[in-house]
Amino acid sequence: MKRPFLIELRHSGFRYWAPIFALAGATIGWLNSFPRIAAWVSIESSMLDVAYFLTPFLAGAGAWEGLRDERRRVEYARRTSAIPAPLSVLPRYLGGIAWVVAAWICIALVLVLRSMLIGLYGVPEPILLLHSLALVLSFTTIGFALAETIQHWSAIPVATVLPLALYGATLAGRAGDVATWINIFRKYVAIDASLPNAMFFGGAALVSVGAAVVFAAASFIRRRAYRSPAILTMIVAGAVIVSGLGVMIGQQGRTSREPAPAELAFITLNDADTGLTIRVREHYAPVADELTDTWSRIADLFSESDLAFDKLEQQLDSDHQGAPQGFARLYLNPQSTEIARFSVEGALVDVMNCTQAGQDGPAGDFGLGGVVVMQAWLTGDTALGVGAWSNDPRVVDALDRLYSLDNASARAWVQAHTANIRSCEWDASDFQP
Amino acid sequence: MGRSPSEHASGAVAHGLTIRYRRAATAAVDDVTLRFDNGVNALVGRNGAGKTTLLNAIVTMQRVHAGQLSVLGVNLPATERDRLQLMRQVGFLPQQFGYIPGFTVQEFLEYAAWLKRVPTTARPEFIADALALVDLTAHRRTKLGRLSGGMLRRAGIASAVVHRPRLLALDEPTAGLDPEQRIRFRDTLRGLAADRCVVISSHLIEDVKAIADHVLVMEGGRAVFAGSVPEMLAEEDPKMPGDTPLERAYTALVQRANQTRQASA
Repeated sequence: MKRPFLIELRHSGFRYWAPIFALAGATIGWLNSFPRIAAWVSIESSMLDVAYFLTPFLAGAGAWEGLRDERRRVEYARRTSAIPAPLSVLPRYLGGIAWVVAAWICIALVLVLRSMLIGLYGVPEPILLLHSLALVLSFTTIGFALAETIQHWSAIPVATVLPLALYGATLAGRAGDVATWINIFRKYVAIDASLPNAMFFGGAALVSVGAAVVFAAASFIRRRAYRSPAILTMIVAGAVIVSGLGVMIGQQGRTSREPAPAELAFITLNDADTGLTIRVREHYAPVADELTDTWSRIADLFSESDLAFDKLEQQLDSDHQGAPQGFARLYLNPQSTEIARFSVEGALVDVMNCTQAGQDGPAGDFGLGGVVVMQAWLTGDTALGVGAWSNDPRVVDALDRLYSLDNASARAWVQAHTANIRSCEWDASDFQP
Repeated sequence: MGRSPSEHASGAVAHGLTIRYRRAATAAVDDVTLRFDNGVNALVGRNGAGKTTLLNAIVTMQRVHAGQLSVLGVNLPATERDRLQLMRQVGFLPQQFGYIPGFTVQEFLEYAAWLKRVPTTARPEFIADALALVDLTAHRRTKLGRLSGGMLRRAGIASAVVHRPRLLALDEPTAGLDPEQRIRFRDTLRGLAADRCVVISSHLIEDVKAIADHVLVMEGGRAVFAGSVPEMLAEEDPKMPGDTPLERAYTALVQRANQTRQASA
């Protein structure tokens, strides 16, 4: 078995596919990773995204490779072999799978190395990484199994369409309904974000086991004496796969669990000049300077107003409910390329009365313009970008005026206009000398 | 006849063997009775006469619909276990055999040996013997895709004999070989048939005359003659078309069979 496996490893069609999958996967994983920070949760999430992206291609390639004997007209060798049918295809299957695993390892290594260069934080959740591996292996196996079962080139589009159909169902928003219907375990599945999502991984395990059984049974289907039990086994295994998919989709794609507060690691950033302390999760260390600089400037601007603050704490979600009307919470978006700027915009939602649903909008003869100017000034934007605001001379002038103020004047201006900042009530005269 | 391959059983024995393809009006093999023992057994007939179907049935790739077929003492169809046991003793090479172009000759034979359950320790010796038999030892590291047509067929034959089968079935083995290669191949075949049953199908009468110990002439799925080459020569009709006595005997047998069939129809 070892020698045929090595021969298949050397000649598997996947030796051509694997580098393409690795390159595509690494690129997609890279683009889907947090751009500025690095954490294991980002790598795991990216690996899952990559796995979902690759599944149609892997299934199609699995079917293509599974049809090799038919394509090359060497099926006579298997049909007259002295070993059981599933065993005779095992070296080719394992050879292909080995290349898929190699591609998966390459993708993971690229993402880990990239993260290490940025500064990798957190601890890996092995089950999440294994889940992405199980996904790629399952769909490759499904491709092989379909090739064994159908034994016709149509196995390739059928294998490719299967994961695409799952995407389609998800995109159409019907996946949940379908999952509820096909999930025979639905009575026992409940979503509790605070618990490890064992059911999700149970579903993935069912898909993997089912695919392997279908593959083995499909290899027997040519033998007339074994055809009926093989078909019966495949039907049962197919039902297991469907149930597994149902469990997975029924969990709404939630692969991770919410870590308990005690499990989270935080770092505290200090600014000596303003005395400001910022408490954020450890994986934001790569943007610590940016956060400190941005918020020190704002702390200094508000230091003489009744919105003065010397402490900020990261809010673990983006929910503004119950927030004090002031600077206290830090909303951080790991997906953002401008994390500090995003955090300012988030904090201003707490401060400004006009920015949340159900509140009154900006008021005064320069209401909305004033809000835009304040957001741009506090986030450090010197330009307003392309759009209506950059063509409004009143807005441009107001922003220029604020940036022209020295520190003491800026603090005094903020102190004098704290009420306007809170109420979003602005007149053009507020920004004039 | 037993369940497992017997050392003393004939290569293949059939009584009233009938094989039909789906949607086909007539049987591909129709009520054929035969006996193939050690030596070269030649299946002769035109294209579509049923030679390949009969060979496929002997190597268990084709289902038997009626009659009896026993290969090395194993009645077919057999259980999967018995069939696998039988396949350890049977070698086969189809007329147009495929191959993986990237495989070297050595890898091709290693794989074939594994499929035939040649013990790991014995494989090097078995493969070396098979390579020597077809004179490909010097090319064992050459990729199949780079071999000439004749060398490729020799590699195919090596894969069919690498496990030292007791029954070797070769479908049109000399097709595509040049005259020199055919002569050499006949010698190879004679050597192989010394201690085993070799069944070849051919529509080349010259090959049959040169190497066959036993001939089965097929026409329209039926066996119209079974016997030795001298016995077949006795059927010669000088008025029939053909360049050699054996060719004239063949055409006479075929024409007689067709006349009989038409008369009965």
